[in-house]
Amino acid sequence: MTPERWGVIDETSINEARELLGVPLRRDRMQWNAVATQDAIRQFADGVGDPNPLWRDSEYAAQTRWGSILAPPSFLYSVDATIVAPKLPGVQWIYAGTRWRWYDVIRANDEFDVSVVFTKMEEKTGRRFGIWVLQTGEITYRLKDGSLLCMAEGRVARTPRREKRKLKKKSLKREKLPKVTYTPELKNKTTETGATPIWESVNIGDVIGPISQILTLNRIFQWYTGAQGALHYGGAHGDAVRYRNRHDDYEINKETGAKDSAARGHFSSKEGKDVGMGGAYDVGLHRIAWVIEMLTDWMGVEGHLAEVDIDVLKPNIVGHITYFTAEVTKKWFEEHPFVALRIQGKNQFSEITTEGTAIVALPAEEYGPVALPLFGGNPKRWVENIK
Amino acid sequence: MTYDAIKHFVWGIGDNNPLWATSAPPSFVYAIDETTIAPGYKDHQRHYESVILEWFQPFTIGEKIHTEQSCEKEVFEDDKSIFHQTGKTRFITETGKVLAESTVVCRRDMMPLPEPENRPEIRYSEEELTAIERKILVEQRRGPKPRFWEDTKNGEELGNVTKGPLSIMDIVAWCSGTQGAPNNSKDFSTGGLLTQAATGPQLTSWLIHLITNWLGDHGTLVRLEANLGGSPLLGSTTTISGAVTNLGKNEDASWCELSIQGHLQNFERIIDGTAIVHLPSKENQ
Repeated sequence: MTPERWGVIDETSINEARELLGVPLRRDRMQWNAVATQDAIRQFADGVGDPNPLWRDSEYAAQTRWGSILAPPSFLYSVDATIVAPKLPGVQWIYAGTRWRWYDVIRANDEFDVSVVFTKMEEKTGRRFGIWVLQTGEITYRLKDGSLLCMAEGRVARTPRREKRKLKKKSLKREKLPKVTYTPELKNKTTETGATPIWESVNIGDVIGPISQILTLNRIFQWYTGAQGALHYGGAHGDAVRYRNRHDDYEINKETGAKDSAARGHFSSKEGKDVGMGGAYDVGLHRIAWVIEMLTDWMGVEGHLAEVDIDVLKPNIVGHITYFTAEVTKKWFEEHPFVALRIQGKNQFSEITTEGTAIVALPAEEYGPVALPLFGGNPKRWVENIK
Repeated sequence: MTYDAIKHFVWGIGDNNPLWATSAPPSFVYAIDETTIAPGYKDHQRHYESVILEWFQPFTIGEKIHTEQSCEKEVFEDDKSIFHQTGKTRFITETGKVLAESTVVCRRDMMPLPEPENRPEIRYSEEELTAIERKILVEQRRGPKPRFWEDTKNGEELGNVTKGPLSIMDIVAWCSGTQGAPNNSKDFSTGGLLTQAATGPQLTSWLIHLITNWLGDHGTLVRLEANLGGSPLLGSTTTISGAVTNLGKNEDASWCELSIQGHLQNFERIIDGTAIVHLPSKENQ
């Protein structure tokens, strides 16, 4: 890679990436957890900050329909993070969103087989980044016996690095926003794991939340240790050097002058500002895991989270509070009793940072408990029945 | 002890030895417990000052390992605000086998941690960075070819491992493979993690990385003693090297003594270690 080509988005680099469309991608060194051991589940739930006993307490879980500990649906981020961003060396990647479809629950000691295909590449233009690219990948999670557990679509924005952007300085400036005043109740989220709502009792227009989540550096660090380590940036020490030599994915550390990981912006206000995020910023996957936590808290032990489709729209900065809400928008029966929800996350300045939809299958008086796997584990029936 | 746990740990020290796909490195003890035993005195810093590690039995994947810890002694210096606490940690299987034991001395003092600002020694020239990268890329690993005791000479060098310039992601990777995020709310509130440094267990694991690289797949590390005289802050580069200093044979094994040192980029010596390893012998072939 010549220095002039590093970080460039143009026809040549876009076409190079296009050649990989439809090709199954290798995921060497991309899997944090291969098995959902109880330790791994607990560490992941700690990373999210989700105290739900269903992920932690064997005695509690033994009394439930499942008989043993489950992993939160977002646990699959630690099995494969859904980051599919091939080629475009030196072009920074920013996680943009996921569409999850879970056919079944994740049980303790489940072992996973993952396959990944790069499926879509869209060119975009925007005020903030000029020309950028949205890359989409499809990730299929199966259990060792071949049964389908989940399918995900991961979306990654590839944006030019700041020094490669041709933008007026003015457009990079963030509006000055008022300082946050902390109140004790904001230090912890306010949800509690409740009983499962019965499908018949849920009404269109019902609102969940707002659930508040405050971002601290400690929480970002906890997400890293529970969900991914440094693996999305090539790992540590010699592993990272070898990775950078293969992929040209790095930032120059201004202190040392050395090639370093772009993830540093998650751990320092200064670095976060340097990469144009306005401060130390969160990991998009973590924010979506917070949405999933709100939904699993609401649906209780007996509900099944079927689908979540979330876009991460704006950076969430250390010290900011996100208020998540979900509103029931639809209720229907097609093989299973479903409700659809509209999801929103706003920061304390009322900026919408997170947006999307979710579908939950609930137990019903008429139909009994949720039958799993959904649609008999058949993706064709899913597409026909959920539009 | 699972494949995932071993993977997380070796990723945390940047050790891509394929042997760890099927077994655990001796340093894996730190994934189970950091072995610091320094109770009380919450206003005093904890410095992992020295460690003796002994390994008695190999780790087996799937085994559940717990620890038993004891605080052995507390020795005060003349200046009573500085003292040293010694503690033992035993790593034990469910059937009661003791796999390994550590004896750790922690220095407790109230001296302020060094400020990371204004540290000209962590600014590198292009040439220095290229040299560091080269050293990392040519690190030698013995691998499956046995290193026989008979072929080993006194004074033979062990090669080296280089860790740096230390990045925040190296620290994140280490914490991810061991005890999780550090609980240091003071630093976390100032919008950065710039006062983070590699810990004693981390340095010791780097040292063991050098030993296992040299040992190959058929040698065994049985004892390590290390004195640690400083913590590499972010941006620093640590190079660890050593040599064979003694050789011998007894009824049980053919052994080698290794002497190991670690230096920062400004040549400050921060690690001094001695290890005993067992090597395969041609007589037993």
